[in-house]
Amino acid sequence: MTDPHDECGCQEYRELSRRGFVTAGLNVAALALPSGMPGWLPEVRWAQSANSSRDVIVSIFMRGGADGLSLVAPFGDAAYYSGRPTIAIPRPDAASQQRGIALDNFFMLPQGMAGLRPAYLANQLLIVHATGQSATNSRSHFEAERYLEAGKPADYGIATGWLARHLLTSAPLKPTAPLRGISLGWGGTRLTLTGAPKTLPIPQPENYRHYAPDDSVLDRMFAGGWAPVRDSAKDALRTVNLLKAIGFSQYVPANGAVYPQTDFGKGLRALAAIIKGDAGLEAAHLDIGGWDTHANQGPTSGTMHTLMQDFSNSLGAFWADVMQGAGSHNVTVVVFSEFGRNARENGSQGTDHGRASVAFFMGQGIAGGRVMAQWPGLQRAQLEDGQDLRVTIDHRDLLAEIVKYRLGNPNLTTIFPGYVPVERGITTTGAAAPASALPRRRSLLRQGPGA
Amino acid sequence: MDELDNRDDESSATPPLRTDAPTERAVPPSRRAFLGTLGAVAAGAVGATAIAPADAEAQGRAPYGALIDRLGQRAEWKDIDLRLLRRVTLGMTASDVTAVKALGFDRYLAEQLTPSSIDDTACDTRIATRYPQFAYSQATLLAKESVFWNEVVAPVQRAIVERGAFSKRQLQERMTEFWTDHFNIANSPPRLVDYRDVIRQHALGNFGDMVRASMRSPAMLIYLDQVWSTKWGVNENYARELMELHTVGWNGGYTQQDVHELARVLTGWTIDSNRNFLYRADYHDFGAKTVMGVDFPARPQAGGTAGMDEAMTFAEFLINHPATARHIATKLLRWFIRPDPTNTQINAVAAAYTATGGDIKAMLRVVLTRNNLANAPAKLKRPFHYYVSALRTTGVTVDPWSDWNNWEGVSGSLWDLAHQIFAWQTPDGYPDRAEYWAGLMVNRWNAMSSVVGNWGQVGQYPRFSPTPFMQLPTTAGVVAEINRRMFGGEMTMSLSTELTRWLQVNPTSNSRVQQAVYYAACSPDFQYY
Repeated sequence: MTDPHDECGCQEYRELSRRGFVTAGLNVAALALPSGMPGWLPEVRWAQSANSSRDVIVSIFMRGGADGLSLVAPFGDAAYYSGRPTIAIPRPDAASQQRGIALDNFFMLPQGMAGLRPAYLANQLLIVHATGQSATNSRSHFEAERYLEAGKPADYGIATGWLARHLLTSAPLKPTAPLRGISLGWGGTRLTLTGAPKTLPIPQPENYRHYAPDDSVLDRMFAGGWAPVRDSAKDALRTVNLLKAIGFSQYVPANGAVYPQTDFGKGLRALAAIIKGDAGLEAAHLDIGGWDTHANQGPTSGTMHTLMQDFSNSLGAFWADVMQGAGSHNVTVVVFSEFGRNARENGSQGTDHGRASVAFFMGQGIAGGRVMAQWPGLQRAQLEDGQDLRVTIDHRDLLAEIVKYRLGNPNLTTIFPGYVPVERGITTTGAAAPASALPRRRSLLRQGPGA
Repeated sequence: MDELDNRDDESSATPPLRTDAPTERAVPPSRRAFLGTLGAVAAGAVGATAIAPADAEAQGRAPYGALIDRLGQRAEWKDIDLRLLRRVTLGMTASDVTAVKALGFDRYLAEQLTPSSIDDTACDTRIATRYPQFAYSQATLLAKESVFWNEVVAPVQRAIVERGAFSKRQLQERMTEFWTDHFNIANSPPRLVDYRDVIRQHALGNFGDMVRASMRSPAMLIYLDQVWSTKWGVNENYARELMELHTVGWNGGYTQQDVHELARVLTGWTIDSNRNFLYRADYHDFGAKTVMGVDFPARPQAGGTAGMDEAMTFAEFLINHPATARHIATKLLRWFIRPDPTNTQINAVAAAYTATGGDIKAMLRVVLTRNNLANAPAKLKRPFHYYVSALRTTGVTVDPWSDWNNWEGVSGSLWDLAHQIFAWQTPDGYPDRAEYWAGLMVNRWNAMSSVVGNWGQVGQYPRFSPTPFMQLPTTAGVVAEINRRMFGGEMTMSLSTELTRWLQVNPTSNSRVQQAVYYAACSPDFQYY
């Protein structure tokens, strides 16, 4: 009802403003009224509530500007090899042990990404290439991260994240859940989830605790006081007890899944335990950093290879554990980075900040098993500023489709302000879903590239 | 609705405390009427509103702002002198209370506005002795770049925490924090020079002087890519933030075209190989430019400082722009008074800016009035403020930083609290909004464990002693001492009840007293100021 730039720092103000908005003539009876609803949200329609089959969303951010041209390499574009004489992934039909794994007759995974192949073959992993931020060309990590996480470019007035606004405009899956959203990792809530109701920054769920000799004292003290601190304190106390009740150390992943003993692997493992605990968690965000590969990138056997192994084996384990088979849970995973890297390598066997990269989508409701791309080409004349892979699909198109069809939330103008997303057909349920759930992949894999 | 039912400490455990305390202006209608009406709304009734938005606008504020007066007020905060202390310090100590009572509201504020009038030798000596890094020249800082984190950043962060905790010039520290975020720069060696020579230097001086200094600050020009902006390739980053964040504000009436034109005006403002400020006329675009209606006609290419005057002229235009006065006035009111300042309040502070040409003290005199403070809703301390206020009021000893292993206890808490000094990466600075910080309650409680949890062991964590709280070793005596040292004597009844319950098990037990201080520091009372 007011400008989203309103910097009012007062949650009470917003709750009350919202009530004012309600009394201004909307049909109150039709609305659930969760607390924490910002007052400035225009004409919100509540997403499906309770007993709905909407997915838990896991948002993963590859911080540092991940090189999409190594993560999912275009061996079908000759300029990929001419631009990267020392750091290209060998073709799938090469003799080298480091050769790529063909996904179709144009793209391949490097060996470090092999952990994602089972999900791809099960048609539950979709790769979107040449995607990124179409409305800003910032090559600053922090600006690009911020714009992507806020869901709106070049606007410092937006203080909440896109996923937070999804939760703000959704009724809770479980009305009593103390923890609807979790931001894993140190240093506070990531912007993606900043401003979300019942959402806490939890560095390591298995070690989330306080040191009060008797927590009933804290409980009583925070029974009064003001939102949002009171609510946050109460949720934190309940969450500490909730996580205490989950036996993280005894947790046995399903389907023989093995998580790497890395921060990322351990984070996903803990998340799997929380999701299976059916505690009402709806959204999670976690980071995997280290993608700023200016020198000695090593996508076949070096630094980036090791990092990709961590990424793909952790995510592959999560898929096997949580998203596969009879007892699977409704989960959608989305993976982004703030930008990609230059098409051509630099003088240090690395790559500098670029534009488009890849995004990954995983889940039973994802039209996967394929690489979606409107390939712009890597010839110099085809590159943005003569150096970078062009952004052909705005990341908000993809996220909006997930929000609408997998999270059942129609409030896209609130979640991605000022943007009209284009449906790309990345879910099996959306209006633009592909006619066949089985794209070209199988026959091409059998043929092999260059066959 | 339940969030309104026990909204403040007037709940059942607490004897009723009137919200129409003498220090508050009456704001109609009564609180009870508000609650009744809102209860009806939650039950589904449509029609009656708590306060008509039109009325609220007539009062000069956003709809429902008046309600905050009621909901966010601390009924216990009756003493106007203490209300001043809460806002100008990083934590009100018992000796601050003594000082304001001895001097009175006006003289205390006048002293804080003139930091040189306050003898701060003890703190200055402490910092200079413990943390010579704080005074390093740019050349020394650059020479240390490869060991920057270990040998410079960690001790400087520690120095800033200790200065906040132990300086008597508290308002200067509050203002330094404010401007550090206003002119935010991510960490780098020259960033420390900026912090010292731009931010601290002008924190209570003239706003225009700060802008002028910032424009020549290598850290700023590097951080916002100005140093790479030339007539051959313009970078708009600094030009945009100079208007959007530093002066006229995002709604200050400029367009994207103005950003581009200002970037052209600023070409040539760069640095030399030692990262000192340098103007290079050969980088400058001498073509015709128009920014926000200010014309810069084309001029012949020349050397020296030719063309530098264009940005200086436009800086004066920005500094003297009414939108800048309102932008700074609004931010200061938000920092010290309330998240939703009224137009009347903003206009008054902006008028002081305009009348004095941007004198910060003059603005603060209009911000920190009895009337404004009496009606200021309680504000959530940001983590730095919260942590430092615990150091100030629990009487802990902070040992000097000695090495990397010693870092964790003090600066490490700020990392865990997501408020590490110089770590905000985008140019808008750490947010000052309650909902941004409210999710960190467990982190805040754990930070209090690190403040009062270490019993006398010399090293990385502050050293706590319960003895000062046990001068009268009875339950009532300890509660009274916690109240005096940490709450200026204005502790809520509900906290007093809770601490009494905890202490009466054994008020002479050192660990019970330590735990009571921990609970007091964790309490809702201590989260706000």
